[in-house]
Amino acid sequence: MNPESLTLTAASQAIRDGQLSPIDYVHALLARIDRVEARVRAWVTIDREAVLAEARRCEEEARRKQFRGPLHGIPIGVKDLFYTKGLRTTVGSEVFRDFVPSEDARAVQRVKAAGAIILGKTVTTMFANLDPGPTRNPWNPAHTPGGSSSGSAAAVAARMCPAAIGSQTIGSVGRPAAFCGISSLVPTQRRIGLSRTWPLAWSLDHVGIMGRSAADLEIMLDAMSEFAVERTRRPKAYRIGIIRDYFYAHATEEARSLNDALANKLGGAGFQIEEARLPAIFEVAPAALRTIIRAETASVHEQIFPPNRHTYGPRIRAVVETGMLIDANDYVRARRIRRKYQGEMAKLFERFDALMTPAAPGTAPDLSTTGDPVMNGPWTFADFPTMTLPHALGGNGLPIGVQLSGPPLQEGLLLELGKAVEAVIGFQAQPSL
Amino acid sequence: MSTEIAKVLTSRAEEKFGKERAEQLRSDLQQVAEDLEQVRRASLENDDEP
Repeated sequence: MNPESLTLTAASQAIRDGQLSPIDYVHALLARIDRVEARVRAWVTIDREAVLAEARRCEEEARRKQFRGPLHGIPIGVKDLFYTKGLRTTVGSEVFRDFVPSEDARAVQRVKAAGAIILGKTVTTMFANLDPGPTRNPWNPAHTPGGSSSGSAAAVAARMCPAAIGSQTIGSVGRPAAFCGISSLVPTQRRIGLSRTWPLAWSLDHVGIMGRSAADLEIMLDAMSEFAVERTRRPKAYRIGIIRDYFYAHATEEARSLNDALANKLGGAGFQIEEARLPAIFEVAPAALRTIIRAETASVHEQIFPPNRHTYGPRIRAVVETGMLIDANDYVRARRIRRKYQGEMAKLFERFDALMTPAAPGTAPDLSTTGDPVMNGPWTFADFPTMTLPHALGGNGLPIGVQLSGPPLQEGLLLELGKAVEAVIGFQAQPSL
Repeated sequence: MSTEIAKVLTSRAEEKFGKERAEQLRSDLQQVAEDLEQVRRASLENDDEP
């Protein structure tokens, strides 16, 4: 058994069956980090002694057949904006360089209660915005892993941990997942608590999950959800609405062509694939989304920005400063547009179980950017649960992802559909590190 | 309309951050102005609220 290659699902089962020791698992992943981290730069902080101490506790409990939950003994990466008790949380900024929280974020509490071991803190771009961090794409270090959950995506793709926690305000989970060739789920906002998570924009922030299969995401969601995930019976044929217009206008020819090829493949496998049309209000959604983010980000940074502005990256600084100039009336109008948009977009689910688009405009761009979140923002704005699955490699050898969105709070349906889609895709490629 | 909004934003930026910084933010302010124009033109009714 090669522990670093196990999916979360397989590792969890192996621990329960007594075939995998949590201590051996942690040692294998730390050794993997030692081998590849210099090339990937996914981690900010790893407390090896604490990790090994926790692994020993998990092992002792496992020997007694006492399992805290479905994540018992599973090492997890945590984006460095979720507070971790006793473990530095930098939010990707000099401002928080020495900040050691006294409490865990709600999301961290949930995975710990389910038995997870916090392997370490993964790189976030500065304040979860668009200034690129140090992390490299495990498939090719000359390319971005995406952001802002850069380290979480890269660590999972590089087999340094089987799953990780990220956060998304526009496209900070789905986009890096697509660029790194892994799976992700961003549930409906209220599904997973955000307390003690450093915000980018409160009304739009979501906790996200990254793993290497839809089944991994399901286990993580069950552990982290504040209320039970409703299971739905599998329909005779899933109805998927493929949305081309806006999304294809922003996609490369290769991404469009691969997305169409996947739609054809799914159609051949019994899925009902039909074109879905966006409501008129969709046109103003990106402008309203950006307006809300600017205003809320300015408010988040109201106290810490003035004395620390010289430490801010150019992109986050511009967001904060332009946000300070926005009128209350414009902010309220943007929030009202969002509410109307959510209602109009939800009508699409009268015809479809899920909506399908590319997860990113194309493969990962170079390191000057974290890529464009244009494919993900509409779903975060709608607060629809959204899953990304890898499905192909582009001509440059980098992964391409598909994005599936379901009705609010219907993560159970989306996960079942995701598993069915994944089985048709059969994506097996891995980065060679 | 977005030109008018951009002028107002630039004036506020100059007041808040100084002329030099406002000039550095020019393309960001133009994007904000275009966004605000769309937000202000969007059709919203009182009945849209729940």
